[in-house]
Amino acid sequence: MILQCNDLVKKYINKTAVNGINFDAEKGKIYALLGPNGSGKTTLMKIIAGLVKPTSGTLTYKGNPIGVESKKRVAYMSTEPFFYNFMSVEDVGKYYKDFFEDFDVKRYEELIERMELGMKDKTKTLSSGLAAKLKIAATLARKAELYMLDEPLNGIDIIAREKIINTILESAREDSSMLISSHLVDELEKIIDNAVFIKNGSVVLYGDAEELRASHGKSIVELYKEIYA
Amino acid sequence: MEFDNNIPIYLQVIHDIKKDMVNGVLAMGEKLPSGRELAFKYKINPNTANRIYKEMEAEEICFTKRGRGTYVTEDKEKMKNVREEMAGSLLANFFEGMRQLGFTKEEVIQLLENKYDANNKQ
Amino acid sequence: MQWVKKMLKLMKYEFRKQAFSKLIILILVGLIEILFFFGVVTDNEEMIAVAMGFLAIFTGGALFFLAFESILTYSNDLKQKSSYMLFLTPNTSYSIVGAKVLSAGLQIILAGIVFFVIFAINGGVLIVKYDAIAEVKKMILQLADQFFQLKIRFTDIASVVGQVIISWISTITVAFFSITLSTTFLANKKFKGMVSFIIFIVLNVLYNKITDLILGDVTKYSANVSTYFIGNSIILLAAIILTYMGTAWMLDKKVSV
Repeated sequence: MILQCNDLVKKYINKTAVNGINFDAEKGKIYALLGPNGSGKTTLMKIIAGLVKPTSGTLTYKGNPIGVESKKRVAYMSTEPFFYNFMSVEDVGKYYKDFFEDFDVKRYEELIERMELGMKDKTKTLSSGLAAKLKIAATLARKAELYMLDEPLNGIDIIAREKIINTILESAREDSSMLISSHLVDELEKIIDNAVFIKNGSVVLYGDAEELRASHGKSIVELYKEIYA
Repeated sequence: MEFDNNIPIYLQVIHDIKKDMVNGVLAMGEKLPSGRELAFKYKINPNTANRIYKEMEAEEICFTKRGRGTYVTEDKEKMKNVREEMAGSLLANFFEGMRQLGFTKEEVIQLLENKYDANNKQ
Repeated sequence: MQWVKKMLKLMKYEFRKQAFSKLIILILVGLIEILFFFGVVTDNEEMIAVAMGFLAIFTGGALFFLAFESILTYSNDLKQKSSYMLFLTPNTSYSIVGAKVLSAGLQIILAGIVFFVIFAINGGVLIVKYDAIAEVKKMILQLADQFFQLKIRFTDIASVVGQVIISWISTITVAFFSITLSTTFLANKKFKGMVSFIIFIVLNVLYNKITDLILGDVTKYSANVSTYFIGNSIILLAAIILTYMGTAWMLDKKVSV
């Protein structure tokens, strides 16, 4: 068990984003975090990443609280672009190399080329599609233990999606885990191990994807439509 | 490959691989892609890919040489069985469909005689 | 040591966030210096006076701007999405804030040195050129003499300079603290800026009250000015440490970006 959440709660002044989430993640598995905007999946990821502090509940990474040690091994990719404006694609690589021991420069270069980005491109001039690809390249070039990708297919054109899914699969190793959230459930359906359906800040359905399909007699996409209709 | 949402993914991939084995695309004794390569090829979860090989090994249509990979069986009997099995389930569906349309056995045979060659010319 | 390397890396990026403005400052100073030297070469006293005037104003403005920029960078780091870049890295909030304070302090010291050198050069050029100001020249050389003879004097000056630098750094850490405190319960609401500013003022008033309580009146120290400055510096140092620790603690436990 690489990650354990118990009764995790995050309250803001005007809303409760996470309302008692219990969730465990095992090594070597890909989890889909499913739910519409505002359901709490992004907040959950940010709490695990250490960017948001929970109101109550416990969260441990390999038995320890979130902190410097977990940040060394957790690679989080947010939905929004977050690179410094003054940086070039190459600078982003250097930054990651400076701070993350698990960053693989060769793989970064390979991914940049695959995504058809240029090392000298400035982050602020990138179109939203290319910026999204840069985020993925930087995050997946790390050999992390836990990857958290928030909407990795957002802003990616249909043709490039297959490339992205392949890149994600390449990083899905036996010793790593992935949390992927996406609206595009059908693109993810085949590659996930487990599905976690989040609604209004709590988990409403959870389990092995194949078992869920079998026991409910429908695909994950259809389950999604049912739950959130 | 297009997936049917109502059938487990791993079964569909196994079916696809069996098809390749039966029609010769995958020769007997040929090396199969690794678990990860299989995952990439079909765009499926790597754990599912491993499970696929486990299931196929249990059915004895492939075997693993430790450290070398997974290979198609060299057992001709086995292959014949798989071939017949796959034909059998296609036939079962066909017979059921024809039965629902109200065809008798003779009519079915007649239709097969007439349509088979014409169909195969395509 | 690993930790030192991490701090240096953090500081490197703090500098880079603020590199562009340094470039602008350098260019502007360069332009003023060109004006000055042009005036010297063409014997245009008005031009020289204007250039020196600009330089004096500019020095004050630039030093003030440096402190302000460090504070603005911190505020942006809490507000914008690029904050993820910083807070996702495996660094404690103590390292992060520490690196900011150190890079701000370093920039101020460096700027101070650069401006001092420029003034010295300009002053030197003027003295050499205008023998007519022999009076001034004599006075300056006499001062320099006394300066080097009496070490006590040197301590006086050093303690003033030291206090100015420490005072600037404390302004920055108190501002960090104020911003962090208001972020803790206001997140990114509209009036957070105003609240931060109010907290900042309150803390400064508090600081002055405490200083008065401990040190008493400035006039009591007319004989021993450096004692006052050293005392003041110690209190300032305490303020720096308290606000630094407070800021880092809040960032670690309370603040969500």
